[in-house]
Amino acid sequence: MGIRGYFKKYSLWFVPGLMILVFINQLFMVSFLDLSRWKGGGMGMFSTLDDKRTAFVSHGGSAVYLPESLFQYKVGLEILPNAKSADRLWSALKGTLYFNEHGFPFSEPFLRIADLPDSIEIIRALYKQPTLEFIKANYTSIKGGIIEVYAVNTYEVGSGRVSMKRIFSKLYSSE
Amino acid sequence: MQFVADIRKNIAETIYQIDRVTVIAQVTLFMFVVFGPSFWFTVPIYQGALLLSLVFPKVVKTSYLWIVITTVTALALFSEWHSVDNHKWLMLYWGLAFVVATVVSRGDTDALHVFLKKNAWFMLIFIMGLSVVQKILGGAYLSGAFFEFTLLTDQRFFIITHYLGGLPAKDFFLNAEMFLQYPRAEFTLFLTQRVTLIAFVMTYALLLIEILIPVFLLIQKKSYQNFAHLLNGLFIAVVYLIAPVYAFGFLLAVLGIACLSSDSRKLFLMYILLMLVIFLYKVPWFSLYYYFTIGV
Repeated sequence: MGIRGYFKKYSLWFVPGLMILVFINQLFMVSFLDLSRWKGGGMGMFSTLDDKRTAFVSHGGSAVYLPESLFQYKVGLEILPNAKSADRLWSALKGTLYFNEHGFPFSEPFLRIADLPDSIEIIRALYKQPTLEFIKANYTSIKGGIIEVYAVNTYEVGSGRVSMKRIFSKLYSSE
Repeated sequence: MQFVADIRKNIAETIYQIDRVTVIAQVTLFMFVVFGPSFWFTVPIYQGALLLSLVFPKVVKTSYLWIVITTVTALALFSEWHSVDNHKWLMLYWGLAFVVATVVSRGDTDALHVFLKKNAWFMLIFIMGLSVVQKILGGAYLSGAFFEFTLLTDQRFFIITHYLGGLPAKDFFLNAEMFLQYPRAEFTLFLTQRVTLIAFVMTYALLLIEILIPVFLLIQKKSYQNFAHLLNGLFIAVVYLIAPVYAFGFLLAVLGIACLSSDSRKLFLMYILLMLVIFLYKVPWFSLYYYFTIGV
């Protein structure tokens, strides 16, 4: 049997075989490299609390505000937290961006939401996009800091109790 | 009334007479146009291919078209492969299935249809089966923790949590805020008993459907296969009404159509209607409702 014969004989297994290989690779990366179970082609969507991973950049105890243009790096780090992803985010941040001295990046809109009296007002605030915009803090150029990724460790059914754990951190000096 | 019935009959007859492989290919290309990776080099190729398939339907049976589609999709997904959504992986696999099918069948339409049918059948089993496996391995699903937590924190589920679960909107957004603040080791989310109940029902209803679809597909009897398709239709209609991952819903409908025999006319029509329903789901109904009721 020639190459064409073998190809024809086993062609039906080509796509299923590839899918299974990607799945095995995803399981390995989830188990050993902290890849989010939702990603990597393993059909793990809607299966774990991994979706609520959050990456923070901080400087001297204050959280750094990350603009939307850097969200792709932030999300990349949350999905696969490692030094390479963190370095990409840091390179984009270093020297060119500024941090929020107040340390609560979204405090303005949410404090407003918390002060609103009833559900209709909340919905009004939610659907009226400008309400969610903020930036009233003083900004200072960022030189050094720490990048961390936090994930939900446990969630207790019926009580609402959440515990978080740090799954990655890397320190960047000011030099 | 007779006039309406005649029109309905004519439309149905026209749809059934279209070559099944051509329909599968055209809805696949439409899916790439609407839901495929959006890069400067992918969009014009997907659009061009769809146009070509509509003007010259025979082109969908040539491997060159599918090699181009699959190559540009692979290139688009390559750099960010680990963060790519699962439905985009599946689109790539489905494109590859077309490549292999067109190469192997060498112009034989029946062989092409059989090949696509078998691949779609496997992919449906794979998608549902593996999502069950991942839910079990993940450790947070079977207890109901996943859905309860998601209902309380994921903005996509706000409507259910607020209107059915009875959680005040303010509490819902305060829950979301807790994850944006610099992390604390522990905190407690606002919760209602009704949300816990809804989460429990959603957890096991979804799991049951995801188990039954691959099980029935594996049984090689037509009645079981048909029931699996009905469940798949139910899954698309209900799940994507709640979770706005429309591309995934559309893909399940495309695979469903590809998986059918040529004589399964009602199921074929069901999937076509579901594809239209997905676009109805995409309309921002609640934004419109709020616009007309409270003026935002």
